[in-house]
Formats: sequence, C-alpha cells, structure tokens
Amino acid sequence: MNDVEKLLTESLRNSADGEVDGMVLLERATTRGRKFRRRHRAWMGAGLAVVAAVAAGGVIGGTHLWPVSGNGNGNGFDVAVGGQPGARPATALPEVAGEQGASVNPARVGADVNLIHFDATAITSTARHYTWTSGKGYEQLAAGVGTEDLIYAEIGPDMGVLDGVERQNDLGVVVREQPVPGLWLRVQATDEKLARQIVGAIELDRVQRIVLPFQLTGLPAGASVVRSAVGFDDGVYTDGGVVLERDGNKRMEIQAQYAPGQGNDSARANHVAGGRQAFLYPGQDEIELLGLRNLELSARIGKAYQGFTVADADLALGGVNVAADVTAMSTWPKTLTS
Amino acid sequence: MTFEEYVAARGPALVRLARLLTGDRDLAEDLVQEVLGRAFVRWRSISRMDRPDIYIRRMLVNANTSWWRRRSSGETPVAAELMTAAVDRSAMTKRDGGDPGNATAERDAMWRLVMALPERQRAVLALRYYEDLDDATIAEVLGCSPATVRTHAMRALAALRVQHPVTH
Repeated sequence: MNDVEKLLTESLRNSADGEVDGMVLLERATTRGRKFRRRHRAWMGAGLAVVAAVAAGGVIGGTHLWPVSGNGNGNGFDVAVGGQPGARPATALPEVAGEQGASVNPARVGADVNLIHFDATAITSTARHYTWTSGKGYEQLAAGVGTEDLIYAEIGPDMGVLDGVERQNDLGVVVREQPVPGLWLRVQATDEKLARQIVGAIELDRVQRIVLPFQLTGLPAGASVVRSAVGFDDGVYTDGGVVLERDGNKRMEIQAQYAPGQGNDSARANHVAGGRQAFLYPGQDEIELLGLRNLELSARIGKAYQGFTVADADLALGGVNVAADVTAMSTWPKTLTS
Repeated sequence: MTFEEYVAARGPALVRLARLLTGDRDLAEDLVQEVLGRAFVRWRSISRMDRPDIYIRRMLVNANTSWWRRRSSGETPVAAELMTAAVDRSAMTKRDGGDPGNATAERDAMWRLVMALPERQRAVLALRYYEDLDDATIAEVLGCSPATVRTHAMRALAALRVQHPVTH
C-alpha cells in the first residue's frame, strides 16, 4: 500500500468512525419496515379489486390490459402481463426488419452477437437501468426494476448455457420455461411473483440490433466479436462494449463508459494507439483513448482478458469510429463493426 | 439469522459505510434505516441468500445512488470547489511542517477530495479501503465486472494522487 492509499485508508476510517446506537437503528428500521408492509398490503388490496373487476368482464382504460401491481415487495414495479407491451423507451435499440424472432427461429438466438431476438418493453420502459447482452448461445436482459430489485432474463437454445451466464447468482428465485420447442427462457428475480411477471413481459417476436457509441473498423488477425453489451441508466447510456476472442481462449474487451465532462485529457497521453493519443496503464493491461468528448473508451487486454498484445489493442483502437454525441443515439454508428 | 440479529450484528457497520457513501452523518443514518426497512419486509427471502450482507450492501449503494441524484440538483458543492479547497488545505499543511495537527489536516483534505470524486468511484474506494472487500465482491455489490471495479479504483487513485501530494 503506497502513501496515498495509506492516507486514504486513514481518512476513510476517520470519516466513518463514531458511535452508532444499534437499538435506535433497529427500532426505526422496524418502524419503517412495518410502514412499507402496510402500504404494500394496501396496494395488494387495490390490485385484487382490479383483478376481480377484470374477471367480471371489466375493461380498464379502454383496453383489455391486466395490470399486476407490485411484485410482492411493495417496490412499485408494474408490468402489464399478457396484455399490451409498454412504449419503447427513448433508448430502445433499433428494431431489425426481416429477421425472424426467437419464437419463430430459436436456432438464431445466441448465434449473432449483433442481435437480440427478444424485447421486453414493459420492463425497459420503466426500469431504473438495464443492459442488453448478446453472447455465444444466449441473449440477456439485466435490469433494475421498481425501487431496488434486480432481474435477469435470458433466452437461448440450451438451458445449460443459460445457467452458466454471468450474473449475480445469489438472487432470489429462478424460473425456467420452454416457450417454444428449441428455445429456453431463464428468469432470475428476487421472488417468484416478480419472476413470473418478468416471464409474462418477454416479447419473443421482436428482434433488435445492439449498437454502441463506437464502431470497430479493424480487428486483430484471427479475432472475432463473441459478445456485445450495451447499458442504460435513467434514459442515458452508461457503458457497453464488445469482447474479442482468438483461438478460443484469448480475449480482449473494447469498452466505453459515459463520462460527463471528459474530453480535455490529452495532456495525460503517454502512448499512441494507431496514431491517436492514448494512455497506457502502468500494468500494460489497458489502453484508453484520450480526447473523446464525454466518453472513456479503452481496450482491456490484461488480467480478466488475456492473450492479446498492446499492438492488437492499438490496432483496434486506432480504427475505431466514435459517435459525435454519446448522449444522442441517432449519431451512433449503425453497426458494431464495419 | 433473524432481522433483529442481523441489525444488531451489521447495522452499525452499514451506518459507517453509509457515512462514506453520503458524506453526511444524518443522511447516512436515514439511508440505512430506509434500506433496512425495505429489507425487513422481505427478510424471509433475504435471509435465505448465501450472502445476505452483500445483497444489503448492494441495496445501500443503489439507494444512495438515487439519493445522490436527487441531491445533485444543487445541494452538493461542485467538485472543482472541493478540489480547490482541498489543495489549498494541503498546501497549508505542507507549510506547517511538523505541526501535530498536520496529520489531521491531511486526512481532512483527503476526505474532501474523496467527496469530490464521482459517486461510483467513491463507492469503490469505500468498499475496497474501508470495508476491505476484494474486487470480485465489490463487483457483486456494485453489479458490474471486476475489471470495471479496477478501472474505477485506478482512476480514483490517479485523481487523488494528482490533487493530493502526500507531505510525509
């Protein structure tokens, strides 16, 4: 640990320390918990009344929509189950015409990292944040819904592959279904009711294209894109990227994070990547392009991602096309590679 | 473990972590009460998790994020002001040389710099250097990859090094 880290540790301890009255904390947390529970029961009562009205032939808002309010946790998450999908959010990915959805052609799912063969507008239109990922044999939506819940929904032809996908695995319950022959759906959520709501919100007849605020125009020899991901938080791009693979076991990630205010950092340059000013991290495991407005774009070749060289990263970064405005999806490149 | 046992064992530590996330002692207690109140409602499912404490800390970080957004409308001093104040303070402590208050002043200056960091970077520093969690666990708490955790940490430390020349 160096001097700055030592001082930092001391400073954090100093700022965090101090007495905490555990009894008061317990009392107030329990009081709030009981309040949340009462509010939740009131919600559920209202929800049951709505269900009864629908069962009796009632119509809500002029449509035959069946709203299920709350997820059992009183967190305020609503999904229209078995009814109309939600409006596509402003950060919706471009829809792909001419490509069959997962329900029609399950074999295409997880076979093209440029595409997502499902949608879930009832989730993405209300989620706090969400990330789409397309990888080998699977496609995933991870989202923060309601006030605090995290959900994962994945589709693919092989449930074994879906069970092995990267996610927070100590989360609640898992629901596995086979919506059509040859296609599996795996949903993980904090409780079963929420998981069932998520299952009901999956739209298997839509295809979307993953786009990013950058595009690769040159790949290192023998490398191909094996995974892509793009994430949004509160209607704004947060991060995304692609993973390149070579020889089945060598990997490199090109990723970009939204960084408001970034752009005047060329003075940090200690490296040139394909003619562009860059910063080579001391461990020689990551190279960041400099001078990009509101964007941190880098190639990671070390630790978790190994087998590629600095020269490989330079080649990929040297040819990258960057969106004019990371906050305006209309300015983003239309494809991940060219 | 019952909810009461969990709060008795971990509640104070959560409040201390929240002090680092929020930078405000009153807000920290309020934030933890809010998070534990929500955990109370579904304690049965949370207590069955392999590591409920990771989940609660994740709730805490997420709750702070939304609070932080609400507060960012103007209540928080802008980063540049905090940075300037901290650097001024640091320069003053340098001049003071062997003053016994020097260490305290340096810690204060460092804390101001930490508070000026982006919220995500500050969370990584708190979890790594105060909670002493490894990068994989921090990644679970923050819902990102270990590589992203390392990037946040590296950038935060780089900013602190630039802004805070250590005087001893």
